[in-house]
Amino acid sequence: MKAIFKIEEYLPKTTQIVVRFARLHAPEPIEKYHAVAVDYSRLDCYDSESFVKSLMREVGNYQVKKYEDKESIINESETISGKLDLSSLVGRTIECKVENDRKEILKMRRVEL
Amino acid sequence: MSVKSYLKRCEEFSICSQVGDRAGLVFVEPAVDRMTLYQIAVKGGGRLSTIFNSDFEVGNANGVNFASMKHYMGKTTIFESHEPFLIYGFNTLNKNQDWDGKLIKESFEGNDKSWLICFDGRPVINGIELARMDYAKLENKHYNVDIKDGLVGVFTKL
Repeated sequence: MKAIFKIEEYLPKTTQIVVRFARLHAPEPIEKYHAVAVDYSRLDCYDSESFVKSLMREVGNYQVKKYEDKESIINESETISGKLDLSSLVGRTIECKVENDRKEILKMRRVEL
Repeated sequence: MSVKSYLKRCEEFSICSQVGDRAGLVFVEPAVDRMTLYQIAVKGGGRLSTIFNSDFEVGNANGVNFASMKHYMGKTTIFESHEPFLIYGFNTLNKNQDWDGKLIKESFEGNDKSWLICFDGRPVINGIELARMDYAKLENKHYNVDIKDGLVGVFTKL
């Protein structure tokens, strides 16, 4: 899943930013989602990439998931458990989780000194 | 979040990274995957032990930020964070290939069996400003180092 964020305010005196988060494919414009204040002194501000990753880890992932849970459901679904009977699943819509636990590639750059 | 892991295989070694946003996160590394020779803590820290063992070591970015992990090779380990953390590991590609590693803070004489890795900061080496996770193969020559806020390791094949 891809997400987006929009910084509405930058408050250096209190080391805060006011940010809105949404899914990239959200059904509403990002301005329709609540803005939250984030203390950026807790984030990894080493460069843009580390900032984005730490912002999402610290606040964004939770916010996006929270909004997603509140959005209306178009597809009625059900959960399944226990013994598997594939033939009985044909035509039913089953709820499941999208997980991304695999190891990601660490971005490195070779330089000549 | 759980502990997020990253890995990059370079020419003669690999670098792994674990990152987490709070205390109490646990990361178990099975013996078969354990190839880490040195651990570098850039932010935060925690404690590390072989699994089912009450003895543990504490490492963190403000204290023991560079440590040999050779005694954990081939053993299943468990890490528990004490605070939000960002940790890197320098790994051999072959358990029979040993490396010597150290942090550098001053100018030094390089050799062609060594690699330099910038783990944090923006140090200037031979006039070139490095960024986090830049790396270079060294040569048999002098390297001028302005370490600034940098955390830089040099690893030599033994």
